[in-house]
Amino acid sequence: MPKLKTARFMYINSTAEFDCSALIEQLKDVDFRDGSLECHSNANISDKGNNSEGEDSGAADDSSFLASLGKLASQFVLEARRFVF
Amino acid sequence: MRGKNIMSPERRRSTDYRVVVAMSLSSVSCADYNPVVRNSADLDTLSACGTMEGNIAIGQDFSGSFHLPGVSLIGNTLYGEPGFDSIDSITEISMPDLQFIVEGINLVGLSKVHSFSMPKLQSIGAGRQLHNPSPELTRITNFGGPVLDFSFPELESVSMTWFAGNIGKYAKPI
Repeated sequence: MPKLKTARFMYINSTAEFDCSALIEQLKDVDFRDGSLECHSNANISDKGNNSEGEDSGAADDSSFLASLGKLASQFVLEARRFVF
Repeated sequence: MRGKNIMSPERRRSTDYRVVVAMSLSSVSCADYNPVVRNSADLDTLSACGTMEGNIAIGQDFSGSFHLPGVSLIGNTLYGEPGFDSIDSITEISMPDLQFIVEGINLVGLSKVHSFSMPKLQSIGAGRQLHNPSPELTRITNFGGPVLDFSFPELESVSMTWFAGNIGKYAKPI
């Protein structure tokens, strides 16, 4: 089994037959400190964590990638504010 | 005859040989903070460094297998050469001794890479987690490329990580 213990955020968006369910099972004990594990593939979609939404249609494409990137960018802004003030 | 090229054919061939040798010499050193790897001679140079204090950039013009043994730590980031959208002539990334990447990995447009191997990698982004509240991003994409599997059997800690494209597997199969 993987040794991975901590991660802040992990995002996988695959155009292949990636098994998201298997990945989540493998990483179920990982501490996702600030975010979540988000997995999209042509096979399935799965989320784990405290801010996952998983509302996509299932097709892995740039739009879902960019949507998640935007969500992540807002996290950066919030963190930056927290840091400055 | 002064000023004219009176070089004999033998002499000209010798000169041509020297030009070829010069082109294959490495242009990087272990002291570089931002070395850009453009050929196998650069890989040979860096493989003797052990650790790299700064970044390692894969040159846009690098082609073939990026096999870099002998480097256990990258003090900043492994990334594609700035100013280019992709590094599409590279076919393999192999760093068999790499254990720590302090900041992150940023490799996009790996459209021909069929193998990605860092079997000893233990940590990515630990520097950001310790010293900066804004997490560093590791981003690897291979849209349109061969199905790419990732396996990091020794990885214990990562920061923010994105994998996008034709990803087949991550980590070990159950």
